Amino acid sequence: MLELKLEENGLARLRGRLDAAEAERALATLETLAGPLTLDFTELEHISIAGLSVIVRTYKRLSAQGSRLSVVGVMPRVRNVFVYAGLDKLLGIK
Amino acid sequence: MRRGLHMPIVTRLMERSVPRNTESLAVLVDFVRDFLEAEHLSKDLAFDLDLVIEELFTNLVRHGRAEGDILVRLERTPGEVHVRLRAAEPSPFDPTSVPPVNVDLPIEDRRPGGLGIHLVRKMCRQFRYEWHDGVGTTLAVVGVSDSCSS
Repeated sequence: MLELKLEENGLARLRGRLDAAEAERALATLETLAGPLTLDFTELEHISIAGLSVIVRTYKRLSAQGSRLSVVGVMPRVRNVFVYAGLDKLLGIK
Repeated sequence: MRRGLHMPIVTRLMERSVPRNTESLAVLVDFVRDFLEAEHLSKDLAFDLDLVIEELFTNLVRHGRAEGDILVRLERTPGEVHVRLRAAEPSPFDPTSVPPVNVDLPIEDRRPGGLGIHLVRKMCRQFRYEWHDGVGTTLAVVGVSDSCSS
């Protein structure tokens, strides 16, 4: 289950699991948001390639609009998925 | 009794059959936790098992050419968990034959697809596929570190 909480100043907090079952709903929500956008992953426990695809599509949409996407608070296991997929540097994930 | 070469290797397994759709992922998440608890394995192992199962399962959901449930089996062996997914397929549908992905390419130059299997290859000690009489079985072996076993 994924919770996506929108806050002020272009911040969205994700909590739970961003997997193939939740990807479509997450993308639909993120598509309503303008940039610059910061996604806080502090409470995101799980991400799969379907979830990564949501983040990459959001990144591409905002980049095409001349805006940007940042991802912060990534726990090590989730970060590893970005690293394995070669997407950590693209999204500035540390 | 003294342990020796003649002691059988004990393996324990659990399995669950689920419908071939992404709504089944929540059932499989619970299944992994039931298995870890039954085997006294650390919850830290859940992340890797969830990920490997999800990527193999969604590959079958999206690209498989048959209907019917998918059987997921988890088996503990010394130092490893063997993950097997068994599903009807009219002909071999071999995820191990998916071409490698070059993750060093810029995002705009990449072809879509293959990243899930790339992840399984990265995370597993073994990755194999067999097909007999209309049923395909994928095996992925996840290592259990000392900190994850009891």
